[in-house]
Amino acid sequence: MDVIRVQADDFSLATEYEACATEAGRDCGAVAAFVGLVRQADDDAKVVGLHLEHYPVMTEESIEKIVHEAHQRWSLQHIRVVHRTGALNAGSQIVLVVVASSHRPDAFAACEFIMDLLKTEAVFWKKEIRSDGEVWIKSTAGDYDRRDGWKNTVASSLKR
Amino acid sequence: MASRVKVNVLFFASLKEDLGVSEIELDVSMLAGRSDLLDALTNELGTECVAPLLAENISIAINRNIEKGDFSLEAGDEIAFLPPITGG
Repeated sequence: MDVIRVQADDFSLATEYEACATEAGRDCGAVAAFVGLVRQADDDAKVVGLHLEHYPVMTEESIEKIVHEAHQRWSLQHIRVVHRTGALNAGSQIVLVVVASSHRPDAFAACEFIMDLLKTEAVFWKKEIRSDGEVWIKSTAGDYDRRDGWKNTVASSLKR
Repeated sequence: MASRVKVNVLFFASLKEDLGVSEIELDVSMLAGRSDLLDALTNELGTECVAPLLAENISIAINRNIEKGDFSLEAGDEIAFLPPITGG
């Protein structure tokens, strides 16, 4: 059973990794993990922190959809996604993705895919609190390009 | 006269700030569509306040499903106005 959590509290990579390896079982040969952090500077302005908002239930459902698609594309034993909300200081952890598979190509690819889709498809709003004011962040053209790059990949050809 | 129903309207992120409210209960006619909803919101909040909701990049979700076309509202529906999303 995959784990998707949206929470104000911080998370521990070590704890989530252990849980992932346990859930994945004996066939697991690869665990890939990604942690996203609040950058401390952007466009030369100091970033004091982020304020994240979500829409309870709809946000979790949007992540479930991404996780489901990852399973359709690759052979994966377990996925964990933890995403924080609320006020986060610069340098804080924001998001964690951990993926277990028998082999590294699937684990690496799925981890990258899930992160790319979280950027454009997960129901969150982020406000950057900067030294020069506050600004609601939007997905960039680069974010959409990365998402579309996956769309153009035929899922069945990737599945081992 | 069409019967009236109550629906719940939610505003997120920049819209919550622009409108100064995160949630309102609205009285609309049964099976009200997109334009009826916006009319009812204009009556409730005023033309100026509703303007940010009309921007092209604002999505509307009914009961947590994004509706790109028209819709028919029923009693108890949860309507959410969503600015552009970004996670990760």
